[in-house]
Amino acid sequence: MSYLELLRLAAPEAIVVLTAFVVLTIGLVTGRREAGDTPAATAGLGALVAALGLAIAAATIVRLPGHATLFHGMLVVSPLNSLFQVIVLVLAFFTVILARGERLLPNKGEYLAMILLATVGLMLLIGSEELLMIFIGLELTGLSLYVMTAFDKASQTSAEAGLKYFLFGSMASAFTLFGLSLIYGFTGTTSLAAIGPRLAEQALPPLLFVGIVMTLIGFLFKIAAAPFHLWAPDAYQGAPVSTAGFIASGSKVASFIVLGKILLIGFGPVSGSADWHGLIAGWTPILAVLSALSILIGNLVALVQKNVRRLLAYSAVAHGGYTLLGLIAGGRAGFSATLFYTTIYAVTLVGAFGVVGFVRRENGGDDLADFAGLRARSPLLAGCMAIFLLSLAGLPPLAGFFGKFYLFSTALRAGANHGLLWLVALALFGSLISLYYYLIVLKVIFLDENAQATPAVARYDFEMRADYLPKMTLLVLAGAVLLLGIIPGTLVARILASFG
Amino acid sequence: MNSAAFFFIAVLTLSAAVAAACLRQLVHAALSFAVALVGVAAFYFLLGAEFVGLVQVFVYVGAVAVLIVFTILLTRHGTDENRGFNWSGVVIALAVLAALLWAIMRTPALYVAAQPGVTVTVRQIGEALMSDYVWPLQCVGLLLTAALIGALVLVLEEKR
Amino acid sequence: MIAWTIYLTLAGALLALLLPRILARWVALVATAGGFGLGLAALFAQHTDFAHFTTIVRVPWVPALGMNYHLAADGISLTMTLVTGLTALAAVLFSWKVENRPNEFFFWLLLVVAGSYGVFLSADLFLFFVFYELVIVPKYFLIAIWGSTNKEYGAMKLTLYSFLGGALVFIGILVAYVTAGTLDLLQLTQFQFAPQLQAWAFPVLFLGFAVLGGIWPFHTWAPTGHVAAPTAGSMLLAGIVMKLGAYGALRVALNLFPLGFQMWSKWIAVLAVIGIVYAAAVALRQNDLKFVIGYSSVSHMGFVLLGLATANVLGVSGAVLQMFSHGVIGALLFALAGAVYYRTHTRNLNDLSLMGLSRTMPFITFAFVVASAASMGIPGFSGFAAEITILIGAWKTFPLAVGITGLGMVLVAAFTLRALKKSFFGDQTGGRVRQETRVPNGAATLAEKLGASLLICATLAVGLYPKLLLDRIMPAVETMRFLHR
Repeated sequence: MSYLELLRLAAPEAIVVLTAFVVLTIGLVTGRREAGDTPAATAGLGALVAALGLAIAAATIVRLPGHATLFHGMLVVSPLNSLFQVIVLVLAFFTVILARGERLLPNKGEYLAMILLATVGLMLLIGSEELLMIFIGLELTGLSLYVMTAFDKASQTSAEAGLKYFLFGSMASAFTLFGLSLIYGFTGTTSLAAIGPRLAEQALPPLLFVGIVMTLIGFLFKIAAAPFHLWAPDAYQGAPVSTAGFIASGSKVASFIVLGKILLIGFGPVSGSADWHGLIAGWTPILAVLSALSILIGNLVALVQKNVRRLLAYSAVAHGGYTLLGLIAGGRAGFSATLFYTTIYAVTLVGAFGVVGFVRRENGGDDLADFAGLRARSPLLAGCMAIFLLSLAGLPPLAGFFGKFYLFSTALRAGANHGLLWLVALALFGSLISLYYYLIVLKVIFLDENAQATPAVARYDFEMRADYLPKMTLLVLAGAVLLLGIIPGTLVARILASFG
Repeated sequence: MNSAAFFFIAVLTLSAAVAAACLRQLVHAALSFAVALVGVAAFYFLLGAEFVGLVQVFVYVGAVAVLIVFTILLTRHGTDENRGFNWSGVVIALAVLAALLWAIMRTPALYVAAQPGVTVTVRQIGEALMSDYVWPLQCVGLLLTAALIGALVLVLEEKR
Repeated sequence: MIAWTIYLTLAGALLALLLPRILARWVALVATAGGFGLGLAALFAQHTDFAHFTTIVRVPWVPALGMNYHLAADGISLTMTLVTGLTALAAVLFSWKVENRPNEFFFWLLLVVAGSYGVFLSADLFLFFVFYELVIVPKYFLIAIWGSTNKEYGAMKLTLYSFLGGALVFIGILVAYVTAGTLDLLQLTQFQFAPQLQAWAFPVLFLGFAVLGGIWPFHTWAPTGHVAAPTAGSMLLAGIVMKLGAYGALRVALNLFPLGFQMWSKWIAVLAVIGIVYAAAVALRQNDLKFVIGYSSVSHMGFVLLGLATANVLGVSGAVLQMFSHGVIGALLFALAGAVYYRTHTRNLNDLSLMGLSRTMPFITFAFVVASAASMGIPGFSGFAAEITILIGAWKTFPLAVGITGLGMVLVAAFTLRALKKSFFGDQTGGRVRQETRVPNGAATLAEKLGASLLICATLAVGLYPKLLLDRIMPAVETMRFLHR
């Protein structure tokens, strides 16, 4: 190993970090007037630099060698990791663009820097197959996201959300760290590839199993699976909109890919089985129960929500449950189904939160009532929101439909004699419930008339003109959701091929 | 290992930790917390990991605990209202504890093959940190940077 | 060539959404007329193989999962395509006066039509299901935005029922896909599924389809939805959407799981007969004209299910013919009820009976009389041809059911006559029609006349010469493997 080699393989991360510092500097040099509001020019320049840095990092990833491993898996370059690092960078890119609309935030430079640092954390998570680095990535991501959640200091809910997210998050991290130390204690290694064989050679001691479960808790917290979802509604509702979008998208994608790697590479030998008639102890039954719980709780509680962001949060819990199906099914097919679903879900949610951000800016809120008559005010936003929500509900020809088909069919194929049918049926039942509340939102958008005739937008002349780019972004995202539904083959083949 | 010392330190650490969680006065809680940290450091010394023990004392007791005490002294005190006892929390905690105890009892032994007679010097640790563990070391540095920026941004007074 | 019905309609939908509002209805007219023309040309083309589900297009779609873009057609699917085109064209003609958000209206309407074409022509299960589910959401918007009585409730109920049915179908499709390892309908119909699997997978799949087909006791969405829907919506629902369920049951459920079908066919017949009689009895007590027609739809769809349950060539062919026939007649009835509502703003039979509509709306009255006659199963109309074929088929397998169904037919005649009498000929005492209830603009518009004539011609043509369709349906039915031989 030479430092040069490290620098070459870690170049994408380094570029994003450098960009973060440049953005920070821009904010410091040009920003900070008496008013506390970030000047528009600074915000524009910062966003431009951040987007550029992310794009360069993505380009660098493409030029990395196909396979490389440093420090026993602490830094792994593989087609799979590269693919998902690029996906995370793209999600961050969209978040940065949509964060342009976040008008009321002070310290725009720092905000963008935190987005970039969180992105680095996600890249570390994806790019390592070693427990120590995974934990560091988890913490870097978590810490940046806590700060971003609490960033809107003018809003009390933002502070509350940040605190809640932080408390739950550090608790979950503590569990994970405890679990990791137990695993290290029993296996004597922190490399995922080495843990698997060690687990296979001995009968599983109960304490080691406890360690495995504790490790999982941190990730289940990240993906907001019930019963570790309690932070999600507050964070999604209270955080700045772009942060909420990033938590729901980038953070989730990275968490799922790491969770999948830990489970399938590291803990593969002790998976067990969740078949209806053939229950075998292991992590699969636990995940199956949590998945069922997430689907039920998420969908049922979402039914009564009056705030769109809370509704999206509870539906995120349910979608976390669906996505777990792929990991429960296991194997290459299951993992790829999970990755496909979580990717399209992330794209959809970034878009949905983008629309929420617009509505919030125009109406000052994001309750269901604020969406009334959106169709009349902006057919474009209404149409995009319809595409996003219907994709979440799993209706063709949108990406969510194919994702569900992929997930459910692999889950059904995995168990002997359709053993996972119970879970698939439950998930379909959950989709039925979810269609109801998504349609309620769409009903408000397309049917209800707006109570206040003139939205209070006149004050923000400049921003309205600057809306062009974010709106185009939303259109691109909606187009992506539609295209991934009509021609999903490309992405599926890409994911499958990246397993090598 | 000296089991009498182990027992003594364990009781001390645990009671300090419980006190930190239960005491009403924030300053008292912080001080108990510091005691608990010292107890953990004592464990490290007992296990022969002097370097880690020293770091524990310097960083946690010396820096973190003192910072906490300063923060408490310098900021306004919130009203320490009684929120009532959280029974569901107790139930969950007891359940987790029971599961852990059950697992510990059922598990034969924690056998980590530690080579006897090998002492790790600080020099070796330093070399490992700059070679095999240089990547995590850098990333932890980044983590601290992010924490620093975040903390500053959050406490910054806005000029209105 | 027939595949272009799908593309044409989809393109029409997009154009209708994006072009100026004046053009939307013309785009819709062109698209549906084109679809109808294509359907007509395909069904009456020379040298077509009606007996086999013949591939039209087959392109790999998602090779990793074995999905193909695979369209195929036989006599049954071409018949269904034709009724889709027919109903869609009539629906556009009857919505010529939609002023409220016409772009969206025709967009959603054409989306329903395109999805239906797709369902009838798909030979890949995944593709089939994509089209099948594509129809759900447009229905919601059509009803919730342009509907009337209790529209949001009706729309939501209909959508959730459709989706529930869809979920059951989804399970059935997944099980078939996972077990057989293919999504190709042509291969799946050759695959031998284990009898234990068929025993539970068949009812799940069949029930899923039958929910959309209006099977008792899962029919309740149909009357509510029909009543809430705008005229064109009701026409599409009765004319096309309910057929999607029946067609899916025939094409997928019965052909994939023939053994399961044999185990359960008795029960299907029982539910079908209950549906026929029950819905007719309920219709007799309704006071809303659209409710009457809605329940009559459920009753008529009961015939389709009964025909399928017979599992012989005659019964099943009759069922397909009945799908066509009810598609036309149901659409016509709803269209006329809508026309009446448009002019009088009421559908209450007691109110209508005071208006003496037979004088003020001669054309609509005439058309309604024809439609009622067709609906009652008077010889000479398609309804008679279809129902008699079904009953002859059922006579061999379920003689008792035929007897009870006879009672149902009496009830159908009763409620149809009652509705007809009350709504158009209620007040025959001449000058006593009260001045304020006189309807100002009773004359039918050209578009309405065209649409109604189209549907009347269709039901007459098939009624007078059923071989026109049966010659194309029966060969296709004969090749199916679930038949009792």
